[in-house]
Amino acid sequence: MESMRVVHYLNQFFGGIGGEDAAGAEPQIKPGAVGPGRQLQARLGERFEIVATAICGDNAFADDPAGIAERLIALIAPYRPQLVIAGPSFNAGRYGQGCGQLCAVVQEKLEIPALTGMYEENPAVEQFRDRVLIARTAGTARHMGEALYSIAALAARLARGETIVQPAEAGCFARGLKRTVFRDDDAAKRAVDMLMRKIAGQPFVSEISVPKFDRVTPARMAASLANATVALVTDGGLVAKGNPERMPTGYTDRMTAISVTGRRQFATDDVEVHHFGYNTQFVSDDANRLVPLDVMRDLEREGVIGKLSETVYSTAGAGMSLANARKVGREIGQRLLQDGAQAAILTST
Amino acid sequence: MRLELEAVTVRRAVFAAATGIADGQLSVAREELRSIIAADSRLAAVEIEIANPGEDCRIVDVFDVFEPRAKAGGGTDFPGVLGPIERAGNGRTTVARGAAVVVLNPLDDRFKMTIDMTGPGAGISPYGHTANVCILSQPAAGVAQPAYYRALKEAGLKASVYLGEAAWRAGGGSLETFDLNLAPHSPRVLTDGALPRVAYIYMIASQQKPTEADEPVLYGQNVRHLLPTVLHPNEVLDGAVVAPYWNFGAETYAIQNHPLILELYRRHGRDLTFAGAVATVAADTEVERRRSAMMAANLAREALGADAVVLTKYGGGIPESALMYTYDACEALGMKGALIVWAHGGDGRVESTLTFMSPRADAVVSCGIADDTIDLPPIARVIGSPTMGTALMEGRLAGFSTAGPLPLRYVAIGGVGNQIGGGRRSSQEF
Repeated sequence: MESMRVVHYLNQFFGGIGGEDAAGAEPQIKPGAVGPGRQLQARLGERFEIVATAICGDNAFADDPAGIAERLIALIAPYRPQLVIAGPSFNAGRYGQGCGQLCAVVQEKLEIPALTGMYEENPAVEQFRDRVLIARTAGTARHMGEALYSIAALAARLARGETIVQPAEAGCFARGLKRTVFRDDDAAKRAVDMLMRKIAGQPFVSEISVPKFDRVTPARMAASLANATVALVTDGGLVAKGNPERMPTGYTDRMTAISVTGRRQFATDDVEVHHFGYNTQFVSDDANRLVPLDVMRDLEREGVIGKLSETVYSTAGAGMSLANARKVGREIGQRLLQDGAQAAILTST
Repeated sequence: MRLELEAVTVRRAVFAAATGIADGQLSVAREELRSIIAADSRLAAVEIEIANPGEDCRIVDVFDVFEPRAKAGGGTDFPGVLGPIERAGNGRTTVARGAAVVVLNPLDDRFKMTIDMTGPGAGISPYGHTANVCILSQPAAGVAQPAYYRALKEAGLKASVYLGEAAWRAGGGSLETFDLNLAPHSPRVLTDGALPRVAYIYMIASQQKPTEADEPVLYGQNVRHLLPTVLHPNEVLDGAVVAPYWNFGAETYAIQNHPLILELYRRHGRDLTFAGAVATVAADTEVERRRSAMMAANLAREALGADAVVLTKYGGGIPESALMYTYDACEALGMKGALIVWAHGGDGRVESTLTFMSPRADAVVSCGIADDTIDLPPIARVIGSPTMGTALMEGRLAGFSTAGPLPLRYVAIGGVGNQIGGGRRSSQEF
């Protein structure tokens, strides 16, 4: 039986070029196995052959991930690999990023499987686990032997044409995604079964896991309230009349800015509401009850606050993904800083 | 309370001179049924159509689905909506099992369901397997949407009773008995031993779109500001609860055949004691949601004596916070809880599955990704509008031919989006 052709990827250190001083090394390729690749070859056995080893410096890769990946692909392709293995990179952040990037591009461009190994705290895990198979390893290269053993076992499964349906059960990081499946029993029976196990103190597996929640400590206000510029922000879907920026009513990835300069309060001609997740009638009747412009102008006049920031930021929070919420939140935060706001009131629905 | 359902089997429906059931065939006197429905002055252009399982046929514009049932031997059908207020859930109700009444809504609306009688759509929908008697109509001149929707609901219930009476006349059906005494002083309850008492907290509606003034949900009431209330499960099965106008796949048919209530009944006395149900709604204000959560948990604990609860929701978004508050309130009172919810697809990531989740919600059953799509193939015959509307949640399909291929969200297929325990569809994290 013909053996499976493998290209291995290493950084400058494991590839034997040099340490941190060689981190700017350009992409290059060497025939056969190099460094830990020889140990990997031994673990993989005779059904695999490491035909070449691609190497690149961590800094060079980090400076231009897309460009370097493309150059590496050009070096790798002539070897006609059927599988690419990168690393393992353990807890090395830049190396991990290179391994993840290369595996992702190999899968996309060469349409062959790729896999790598990392420690759970390597930031590249979060970045690539949704599309790259990443074996769990320990934190340092002292555990190279165990890591290569796991990677070789996975490679054997891929070589058999197997799809890793549940990466977490195969010693890898879960992709963190979800898909439609049909189970053996209806939801009613599954719910009662799960409850009976919970009552009896027996193990059970929830079909939806609890996400990790961020804990945000509110910032301390630099100025006293009487001197502060205070901004208004909402996720209730307020938009300028006619919705000129075409803000969707939900599942959105953006925010809109509404100028309130010269406005004492919102009139029904100024604004409208686009949000599919709640009863918006009360906002259509009086938008000041979603974004309290009228009250804030009073407080401004009375000197309770220094000044109202003249731009209101708004988005529609309905069905928004956490990733988009983080992105929109950062954008709004940046804009508030530019506007000179020292405090913000967020009204939600 | 003791309910007997006498189920007379129906396998297909045909038009005939007289209405009746024989040998699994439901004969429908088209003109007679049409004139009963058309007697309502709010309705115009009433038509009756039939769609049988396996037929190359698609029903669109679906407003609600009903199981034909009648309390022909005595009692009130759908009290508070069709008849006067009377306690539902007692006595005998006759069912044309295997048949369904499908009411269509020609107006452009956000939530309208599709039912295929063949192909992949039929495979996953309970209504792909029922002999469907469809009611089409238009609002009469000058009739506004709320009045028309009320008329559609009544039309479906009337047709349900009309066909249920045929089952009663046929007789000879199999008998299913639902006998449960909730009274805490009853000898049954005191001697039911070590089995855990499980209550069901049932969100029957959501007020994120407020119900209309005369929208009938609970004994004809619109549950606009419903405080949690104890219901006997039989009341739910026997017509006390009717699906709201936007039902998200939990049609009246699904409520009449409530999968979770039937499951708790099946296990009653075996591995649990069914302690009864508490009805709630998802309110549109925070204080109402908190109040409802506290009161529902308290009723389950103190009035029903529950050790554990199953909770289900209705729709998405606000109901998720209402559900999770209630779950937390139950656990805080020492009751173990399990939940049934649908998953939002969002960006495909695990963390975007629900809009709100308690960090303590460790026993959650997924009834599928609501916005995942299924490709329905072209079909020969369409009952309902020739094109998809613009107001649909499926706005991307506006103007599509309803006879053509339709990439529909699962939740837009009749009976598939229900979160009350029906169906094997689920989601899996990987």
